[in-house]
Amino acid sequence: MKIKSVLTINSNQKVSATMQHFMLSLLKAALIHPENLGSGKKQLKAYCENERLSYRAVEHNLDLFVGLLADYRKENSPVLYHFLRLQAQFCFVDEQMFGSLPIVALEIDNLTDSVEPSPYCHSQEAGSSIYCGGMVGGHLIGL
Amino acid sequence: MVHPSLAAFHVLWTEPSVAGGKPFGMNDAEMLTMIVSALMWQKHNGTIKLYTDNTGYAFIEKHGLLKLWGGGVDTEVLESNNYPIDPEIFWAAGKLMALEVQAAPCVMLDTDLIIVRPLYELLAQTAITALHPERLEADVYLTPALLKQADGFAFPSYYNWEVLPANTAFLYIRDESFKDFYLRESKRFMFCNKERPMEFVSQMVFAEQRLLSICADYRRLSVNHLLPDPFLRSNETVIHLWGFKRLLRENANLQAVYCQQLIKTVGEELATNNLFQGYIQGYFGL
Repeated sequence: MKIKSVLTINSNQKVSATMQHFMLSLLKAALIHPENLGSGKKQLKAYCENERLSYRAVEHNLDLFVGLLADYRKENSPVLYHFLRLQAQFCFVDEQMFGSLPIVALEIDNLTDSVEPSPYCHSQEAGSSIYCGGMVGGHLIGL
Repeated sequence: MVHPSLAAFHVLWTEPSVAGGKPFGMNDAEMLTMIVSALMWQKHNGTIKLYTDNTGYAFIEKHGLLKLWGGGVDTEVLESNNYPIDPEIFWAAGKLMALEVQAAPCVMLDTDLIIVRPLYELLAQTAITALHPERLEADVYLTPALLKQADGFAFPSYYNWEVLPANTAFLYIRDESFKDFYLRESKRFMFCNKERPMEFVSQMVFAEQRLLSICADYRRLSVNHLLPDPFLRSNETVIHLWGFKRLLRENANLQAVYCQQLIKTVGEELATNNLFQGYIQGYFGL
């Protein structure tokens, strides 16, 4: 796994409004016209140079968003939606902007309800929890 | 820290994996969580030690993590243990073997659980503190008649089967006397108890989680909890991967995003911690 972007890009890092809107357009492209993403990436290089950002790191975060988006569409898991929202911030798309993306949010408000409860978790680590998909304290990492 | 140091321990017991025919391994999210768990404990609460076996030792050595636990890494306890316990049925028994040799007061801390603030004042008021109460789900916490028992074993009549079990991903025990009693009862149940259940949850959670509460009840000790309910948003203390590990294992993208987010969350707090920076850079190849 590569998380190279972490040290070079902080999701709280300030970038220009122009960059933010460009990134938002890239995420929209990933959603609606994925075929345009390649050409968008070419432009991304120039934007990164202007903002003095590592292109590789930004591209990595974009690819991660796109990968997770594909997983979300396949699995329709609310947990993945929450993590998409977090990953968007690593692409300089804040929560408000993320809300403008045409991604259907499943109706849940926390990880507790997000995964089909199962009285039996046939894995050792699942222990006795009926909330098999739940992370305790997820809100402490931004969920 | 201005308060006394609290001694905690992690356990990495690979025998259940090996006995089940699976090579031992941890994914990046599990590994990072364990690293952060150890470092945050040492930052806020005190010392931490790792109990593992030779396979676990080789694993953490390979990943350059031997210095993560300031209290050291012990392989003697788990390697020399020859209790008649089936590691597949009682997959968390390694924790109890380590608890047996660890002097009280102490904290047993799961590697997938992170404590983000000092606990000394909270724990100082209590004899026993577990993570949170568990519901008596009938499919998980079986009746005495449904639990598998070794030949000649009988449940004592004084067991109170009504008390709520306690999740022991975090467990503080103040006194040796209670610790010994709890472990004696747990071992009595686990020893030579080799009949295969239909699932690998109920036998272990009885031996570890329900017996804790039953023993405390018998000794008239109350079990305190860090969280009255695991999923309250008022929780400012605990991050526990718990069953979420299952989802992480199934999705590499989710693992990567989780790791980024966890590093972002604790990064500032551990920014001056050379071990953290070293492990993040070394392990994740940054």
